[in-house]
Amino acid sequence: MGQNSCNIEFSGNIYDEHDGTPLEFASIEIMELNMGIITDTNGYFHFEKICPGNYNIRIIHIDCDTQVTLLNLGETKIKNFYLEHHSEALQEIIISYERALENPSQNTQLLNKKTIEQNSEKDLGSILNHMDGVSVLQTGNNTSKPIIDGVHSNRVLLIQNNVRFVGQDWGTEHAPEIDPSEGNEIAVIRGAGTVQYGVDAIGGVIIVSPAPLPKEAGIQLKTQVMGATNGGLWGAGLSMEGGFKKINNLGWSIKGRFKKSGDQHAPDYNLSNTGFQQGNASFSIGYNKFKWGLQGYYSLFDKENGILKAAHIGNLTDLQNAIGADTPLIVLPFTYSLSSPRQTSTHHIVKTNTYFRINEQLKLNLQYAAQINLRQEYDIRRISNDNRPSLDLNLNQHSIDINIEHPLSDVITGKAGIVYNYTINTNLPGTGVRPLIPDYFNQNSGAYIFEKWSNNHMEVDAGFRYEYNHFNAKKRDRNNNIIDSSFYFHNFSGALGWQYAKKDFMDAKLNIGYASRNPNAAELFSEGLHHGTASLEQGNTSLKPEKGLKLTYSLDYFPLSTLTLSVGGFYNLIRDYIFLEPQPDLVLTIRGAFPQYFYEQTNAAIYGTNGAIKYAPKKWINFTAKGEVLWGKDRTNDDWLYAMPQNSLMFEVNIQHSINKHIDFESTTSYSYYFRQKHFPTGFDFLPPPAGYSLLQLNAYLTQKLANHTIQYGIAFENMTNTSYRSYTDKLRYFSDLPGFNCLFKVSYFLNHKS
Amino acid sequence: MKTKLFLLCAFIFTLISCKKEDDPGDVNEEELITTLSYVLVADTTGGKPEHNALFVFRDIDGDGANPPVIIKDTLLKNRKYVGAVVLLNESASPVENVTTEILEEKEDHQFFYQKTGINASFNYIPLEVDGNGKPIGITTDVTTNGASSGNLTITLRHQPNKSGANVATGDITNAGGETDIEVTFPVVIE
Repeated sequence: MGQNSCNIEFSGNIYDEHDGTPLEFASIEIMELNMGIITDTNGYFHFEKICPGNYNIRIIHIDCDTQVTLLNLGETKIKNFYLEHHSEALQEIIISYERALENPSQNTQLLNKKTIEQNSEKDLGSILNHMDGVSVLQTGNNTSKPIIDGVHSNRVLLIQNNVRFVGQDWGTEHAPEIDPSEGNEIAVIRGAGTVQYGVDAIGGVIIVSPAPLPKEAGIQLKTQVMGATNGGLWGAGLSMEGGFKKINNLGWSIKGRFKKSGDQHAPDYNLSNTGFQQGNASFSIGYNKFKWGLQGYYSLFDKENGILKAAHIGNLTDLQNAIGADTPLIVLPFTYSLSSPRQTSTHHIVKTNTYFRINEQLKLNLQYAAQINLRQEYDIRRISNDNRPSLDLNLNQHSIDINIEHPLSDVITGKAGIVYNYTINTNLPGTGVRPLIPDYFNQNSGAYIFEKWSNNHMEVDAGFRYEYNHFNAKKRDRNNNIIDSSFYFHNFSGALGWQYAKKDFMDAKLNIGYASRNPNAAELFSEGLHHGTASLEQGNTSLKPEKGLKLTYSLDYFPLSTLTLSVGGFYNLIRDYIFLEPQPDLVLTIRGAFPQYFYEQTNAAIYGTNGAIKYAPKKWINFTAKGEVLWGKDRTNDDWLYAMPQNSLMFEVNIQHSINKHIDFESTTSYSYYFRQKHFPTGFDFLPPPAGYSLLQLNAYLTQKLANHTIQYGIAFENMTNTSYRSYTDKLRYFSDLPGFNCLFKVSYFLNHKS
Repeated sequence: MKTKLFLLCAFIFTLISCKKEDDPGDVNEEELITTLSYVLVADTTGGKPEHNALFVFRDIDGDGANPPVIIKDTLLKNRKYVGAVVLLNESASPVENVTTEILEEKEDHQFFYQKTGINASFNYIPLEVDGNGKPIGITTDVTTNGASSGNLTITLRHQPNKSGANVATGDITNAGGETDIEVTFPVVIE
């Protein structure tokens, strides 16, 4: 999937069309890549590490008409532009300065639009899987969430269109209700920039951000249909955006997508009840002038997915029977229909934000967002036609963020703000089952500041955030008495980052950050039997916030123009790390004896390193080899941590070739090897970690470019060798293998209509 | 600007004040089975003395928390008994008889009786069958032989494969399904 052979440099000068004087401070952007720079005193600009391809280049200068040119980078490497003078405001330059602020370069990894579109069948967890340090926590093939540097769930913040996503995040089998297609790019950040979003980014922050709304008249349309052999997956998506001829600066965007899959199949059997269907849509409209702007946004996500039938077990005997069986104990014929156990979840986000430029230095941003998250989980009940959910949760959040962006000088920019969030979580009555987590409300107020200093080669950034939390939970005890408990937490986070970049030589980054996370509702209050793992989990109301001190570093070195050597890593020292500790005694219930786990705290250290070699001997071919190693230690008990991601190696060959002026071909073949996890805690698990496995994958794209539209045909082969394998970070690894061979087809159509 | 901020504050305040949370409703845990009792009544034909035995597994507060209470009993050697299982949810008020629910869904449930160390046989009563003529296993014919002691495990499986090999005669090996109940009683035959 990676960004390959992307070593093209693109440079040139920008001149005034009338008198040929170089234009300083013109902003030049490669729109598809969201890359932008400002020309120097000679009107000179220089981009590097661009993948070959066709791009829209936008040039903006204070006093000129904005110019957009389509160029094939790769063929074109040097290009001079001539701009026609006009008297517009000094606006766009300042805007591009602000862009730079929004994307702090420290420890940021990006998935671009191309990668997101080429992986449109994947969910958020699995699309991020190939980024350094990101792996995936699965519950079978249709539910996944990202693991960043060995941590997941409440330790990773998710941001959709600048709104911090809230859902039933405590559950390892609850995938975040965000579709990657909502993003024009997806970033994983670990540095100082995280303070803008929360104090609790122990692992990092995943930012799904849409493209800025158009300001000019015209319509852009994208549509895609896809199908896959494994599971009979099919899907279709449409997105449109545009502006108005008569009203400048008013833009809109609308997106929608639907996909549906039946039972997937492992090499040797059908994975019964693993289908899903998912729909998501969003609409946004915005009026963005220089002085002020106003935007509205609504997004909807809805998913229903089955859970492998054979994974529903009643007690330890059932689990042992399942573990002992060669094939899952329930294998039924393929079907698209879902039955219990299954989950449905729906997420709404409504957002409105406005900005106002107080003067040329200060910009005030106000944002209000509301979220509703509905989740229903259907278990197999004693009475089989009882269709009530066993878990029925409704979470609502209102949040307000007010901040001021400011350049203090030419080299320092920053942002300071205050936030307020009000979250209320309710168990809807009528399930006839004792709720897993209590009803609660959470009020949280905070303030943050984030500043960045940069010169030609160096950049230093720093951030700080404080949050005050009032968490109140109410539940009924076993005698139906109300237990009302309040918790008050003061938390802060801070980070300091440094980056040194010298063109054609090296790019080094170093960051140290501190974050603290409150125990969540499940860690404090869960009580009772956890189906699927056949264990009793007991919350602990005396848990303290968890604190992480994390060092991250990365170094890219370019000894030759065709060669990149990269090394990176992290060391995360987590005090009061919350985990489930196995208890020595089994607990007797009417379903038999169960192992029992208490939420406890320990001092942990999670550390890892990754390295990559990228070699592009020719324009049309490049090779990548990379590896990742990670360790998780329980320092107090001198043991390993549970469910740490497996070490892995990956080799990739990417070929890009222009068949003629209109047709491009690209293919990527990758081979990944995942090692058996050798480090796991003793006495914790029912089954040792599964064996290592390798996966072979190939995808190919043919792109046909016509005047203002493009058609792309894609085909992908996954698990080409039809390998039977199980992943250590798959919760269903006791019960079944993961899916076998799959062939995917996609056809996409893009239309760019200027009016 | 000031008016805007004021409006915003007023708005936040309204949010907080009107969204006060209601207390969570009563939890009536319908899926819970708190109690399994296994009653055995001896056959008195031929003037044999009356004898009853009662085994109870009771966990009123459900999984975890307080440990369950187990009542064990003794059977007489070389006798015939008729046994019956009763399931209750004693946390509900009035107490719920779960056995009737099992009977409503009899095709989807089956009890199994496994013994270790006891010199006795446990067999389904042939008359007690579901709509497909397969046993449910609520009632049992029990025949004791010589004095011995050991354990009896009573298992209730939900959605078992009632057509599996030997499942109809009470062998759990190929039954599959999901375990709703698995309790073990110490049994003495004297």
